[in-house]
Amino acid sequence: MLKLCNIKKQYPQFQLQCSLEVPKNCITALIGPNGAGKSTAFKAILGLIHIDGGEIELFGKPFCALTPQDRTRIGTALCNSGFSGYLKIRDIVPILSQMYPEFDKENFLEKCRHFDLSLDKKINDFSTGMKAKLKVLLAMSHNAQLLILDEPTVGLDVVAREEVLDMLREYMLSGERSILISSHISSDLEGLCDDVYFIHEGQILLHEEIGTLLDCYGILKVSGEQYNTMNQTRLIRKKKEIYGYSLLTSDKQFYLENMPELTIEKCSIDEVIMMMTKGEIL
Amino acid sequence: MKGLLIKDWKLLKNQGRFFIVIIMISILISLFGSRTYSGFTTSYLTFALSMFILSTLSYDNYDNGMAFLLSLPISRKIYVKEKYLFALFLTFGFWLIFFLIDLLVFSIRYSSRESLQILCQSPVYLALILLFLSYSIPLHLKFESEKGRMMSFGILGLFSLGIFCIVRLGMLAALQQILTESLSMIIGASAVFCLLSFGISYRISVKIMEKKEF
Repeated sequence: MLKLCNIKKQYPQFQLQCSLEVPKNCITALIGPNGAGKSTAFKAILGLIHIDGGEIELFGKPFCALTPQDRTRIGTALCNSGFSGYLKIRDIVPILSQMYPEFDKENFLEKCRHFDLSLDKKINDFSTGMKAKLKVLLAMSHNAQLLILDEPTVGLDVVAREEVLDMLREYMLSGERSILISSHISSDLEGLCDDVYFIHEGQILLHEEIGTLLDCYGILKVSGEQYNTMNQTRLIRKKKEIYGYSLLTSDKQFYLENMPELTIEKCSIDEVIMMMTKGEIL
Repeated sequence: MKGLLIKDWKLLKNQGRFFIVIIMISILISLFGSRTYSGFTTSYLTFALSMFILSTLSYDNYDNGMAFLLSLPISRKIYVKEKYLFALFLTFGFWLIFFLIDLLVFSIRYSSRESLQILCQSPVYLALILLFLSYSIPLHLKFESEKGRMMSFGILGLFSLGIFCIVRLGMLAALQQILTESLSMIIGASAVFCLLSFGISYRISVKIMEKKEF
């Protein structure tokens, strides 16, 4: 569905260099700390910035060969951008009807009512949560095959967040569809995504299926002595702690079977992010 | 492009009350204003309302909105084309409304010769407004709202200073003489010049947008 082949973007103090793939019927997450390059990657995919190298392929076509018709197959929600705040939802409906042949007006209006989004209020007067809901609804309103969602749940309360995530799950049930999503709320991604890319300082440091990440990755808590004597071949990162070291492994089972005396914990996406950014490469 | 035109039209419609007030003011000025300023005032109001096209650019940029707009199924060239079409539509639309108001009111207030004299100024103001938009749109696209606005009015200020100097140096009579002697040629040349400026301005704006990053 979407392929980034070694794309490069050079800024005076930052360089993005990454490859990434979003297959059909998959929800792929792009995670990383602030300033890691997530938004730059999203902007490159949407053609909002000019890349210095590499290739972007969408629906099997090079990006430069995409027609406006191809672009109707993309639904976008950007965290810091949207329709002018001086417009109302009622104003947006005819705009979308003109731009997207498959815009489902009835369904969109029904979803707006469901989320208590007033049709006659200026978007500027919406709360942060309401704006976030509207952005996701807009992205899903025209039967897009690929959704590109940059922080879609930011500003939402727990209930609304779960409702939005349910909508995304439901969205994936019909047809060949894919989602590329970024979020700071790792619990959202754990229950939603199929695979995850971890980006840091403009580089992809890790790509793993979410199931593998949660089942096979683990944190070992070891003393200095234990660290010196243990098998280190399956370790990815090391971080100094008061008691010795915390270690990130991609093969928790190996240590459970061979070194049962070690303290081995399951790890969340947040802990992987923490270890990948703060830990020492092994 | 139709979607973008609808967007700008909706933005315009949301300011409806403001436009109705301006049109009412125009009618009142035409009815009760002094003869000297009649034609000028309504043309000035056309100018003020045509500035709305620059406001739509500001609205699009507001809160980084341009990034979202360009993620919709439109190219950057189509975005620029829509702005120029909307500018033409808006300027001619308002100009026509005020021209018809003037035509109606002046035919009641003044003799037909006097009315004609005042109304003849109207196309000149229209040309000037189009000229103003020709350089203002690219400036707004390049430098965005605040800076673009300041530069547009800076250039307008310099232009006004030029006119002031012409008047102070006593060259106005000579200029008027030339204008009267070859009026039809000057009107024709002005129309061509305006259209040419608009075309060149469009091409510059496309280049600016294509280079820009959001």
